[in-house]
Amino acid sequence: MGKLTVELSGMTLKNPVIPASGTYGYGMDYLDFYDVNILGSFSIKGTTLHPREGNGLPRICEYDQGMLNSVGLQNPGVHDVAEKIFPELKKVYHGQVIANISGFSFDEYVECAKIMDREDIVGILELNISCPNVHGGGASFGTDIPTAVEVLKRVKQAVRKPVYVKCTPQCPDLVGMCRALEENGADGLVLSNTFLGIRLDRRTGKPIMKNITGGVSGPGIFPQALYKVYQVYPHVHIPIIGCGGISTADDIIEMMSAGAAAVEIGTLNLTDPQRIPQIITELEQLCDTLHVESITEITGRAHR
Amino acid sequence: MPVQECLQVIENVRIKEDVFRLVLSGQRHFFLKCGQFVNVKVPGKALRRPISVTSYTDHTVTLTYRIAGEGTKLLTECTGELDVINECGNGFSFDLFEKDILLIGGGIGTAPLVACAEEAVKRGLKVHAVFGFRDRSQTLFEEEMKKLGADLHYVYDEDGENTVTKVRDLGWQDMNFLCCGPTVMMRAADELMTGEGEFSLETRMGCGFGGCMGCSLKLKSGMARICKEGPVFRKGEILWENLL
Ligand SMILES: Cc1cc2nc3c(=O)[nH]c(=O)nc-3n(C[C@H](O)[C@H](O)[C@H](O)COP(=O)(O)OP(=O)(O)OC[C@H]3O[C@@H](n4cnc5c(N)ncnc54)[C@H](O)[C@@H]3O)c2cc1C
Ligand SMILES: Cc1cc2nc3c(=O)[nH]c(=O)nc-3n(C[C@H](O)[C@H](O)[C@H](O)COP(=O)(O)O)c2cc1C
Ligand code: FES
Repeated sequence: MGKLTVELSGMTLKNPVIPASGTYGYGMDYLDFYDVNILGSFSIKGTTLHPREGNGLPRICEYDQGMLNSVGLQNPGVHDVAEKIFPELKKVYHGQVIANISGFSFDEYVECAKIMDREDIVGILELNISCPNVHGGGASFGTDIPTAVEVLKRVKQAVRKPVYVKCTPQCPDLVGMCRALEENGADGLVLSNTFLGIRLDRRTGKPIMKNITGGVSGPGIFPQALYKVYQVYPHVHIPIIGCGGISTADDIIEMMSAGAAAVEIGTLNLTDPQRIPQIITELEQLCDTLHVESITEITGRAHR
Repeated sequence: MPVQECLQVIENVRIKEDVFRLVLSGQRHFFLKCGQFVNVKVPGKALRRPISVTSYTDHTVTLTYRIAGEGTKLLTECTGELDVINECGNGFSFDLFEKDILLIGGGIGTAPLVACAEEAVKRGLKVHAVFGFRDRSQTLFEEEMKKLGADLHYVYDEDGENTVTKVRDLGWQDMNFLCCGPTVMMRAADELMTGEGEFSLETRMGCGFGGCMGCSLKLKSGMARICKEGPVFRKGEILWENLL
């Protein structure tokens, strides 16, 4: 066992670094940059029961410290992912992935989760109840505690694999939400998804993205995302995956200090695709500097 | 295949009021194709800026960029090394051409067509081109295209001329072609041309190498990422309303 090894609900990760859903496709596009087998795991693009074309262009815009996206959950649907993409992925990636699942009805979540649950390449199911992009969809699941609990309960009944819930920072009572999710069987939490935002064209004053709003991500959201983990950690016993704005090994240590057992990194993959391997090396060195035998010792030290 | 690397800035000079030539060099042997782009990290900006290849050799790549906003403005100040993702996108294919090639370009969209003219000459093709600009002060690539022996026609908005109309007036609409420029121009070219051809498209990109789906466009045949399956797509494939 290396210094960086962490465990998430029985799944052993050689390091706590997990590329976040939607910024890593199905891993294949990163093979041009490095061997994806160095990762702890990665979370695949948000998958739905049926194929989705997503939102119109432009889907992307920028701010000084990151980006906004309104991809709108474009994906080929869970059947194609299981039957076409996973067999290809298995040829190059020998670990397990985190299956990010989205839906627009309880049944959709359940059906999608059931199919992912049968796949041995899937280690953990990650319920995305937080995608802010889809009208009448994701956001309402993630901001209303009874609805979120209902999705979780129905999925838990239908599957065997651990179920993590990826929350939206938009939830007005995140601590209450996370406690309710734990009480109702969540095996872990991912804190958190993007913040809702907008950018306007300076010349015309009109929204830049076709969808008008999008999810804000990147280094600019790090303090807020860190605070969500810091806030929730004392109230739950299940593992938290910290996510939002991480761009250095120091950020990972900080996120873990706040309470994260592992981290997901999103936007950084898009802006600097070769960075993650360097970060993993730097993280190992940081453990030496901090005199820790196992990085798990860092988790939650802000609260001790 | 996309490669992230640091390249040396050999030249970054103004060639028109708001257009710069940027020459980058590296140790590695580049495997570039015309129509591919380089995704340039501009210090101070979160996202990279995609810029098409204007010309290349084994160890150098020339880009031509217009100051469009803050990022390209900052780029004008760059010296030393630049972090880029090289060799992005599919590039133009040349399987459509036997003897002649027609290049239809508008504004800064003429940049990738210079690389196409170079490739065409290497392949022994006769180059015909219609390049449109706002006014004479904007004219680009006159020398480069002349050196390649191109049969080149410039048209200017200030003369009330139109690139696509010019192609028709020359009687070239049945030629096989490559096209890059403003979307409205490309759509008009798609409507006019009876020959086969390819278009190079653009949109805002999150990554430039296929990781984010930020650039996915619905084509007649389904969804495609402009940065990976594109930016070059065949005539007849593109649903222009999805880009306008
Ligand atoms: C495949 C491809 C090839 C290109 N080739 C060239 C070229 O050879 N020469 C050239 O001058 N320009 C080219 N462009 C356009 C160039 O990328 C934009 O002009 C540039 O990104 C603008 O950045 P900015 O910060 O100056 O403008 P801003 O408007 O401040 O940019 C804000 C954001 O929007 C994006 N953006 C703005 N306009 C465009 C655009 N037209 N296309 C894509 N993204 C945009 C920027 O990248 C940035 O993320 C190309 C675009 C694509 C997609
Ligand atoms: C382009 C893009 C697409 C995303 N798609 C998804 C998705 O499909 N499912 C999901 O749960 N999160 C999605 N996210 C959110 C990220 O997984 C991550 O939670 C968020 O970007 C914050 O992390 P970061 O600041 O490190 O990027 C997406 C983010 C981006 C930038
Ligand atoms: S810009 Fe990210 S997939 Fe094309």
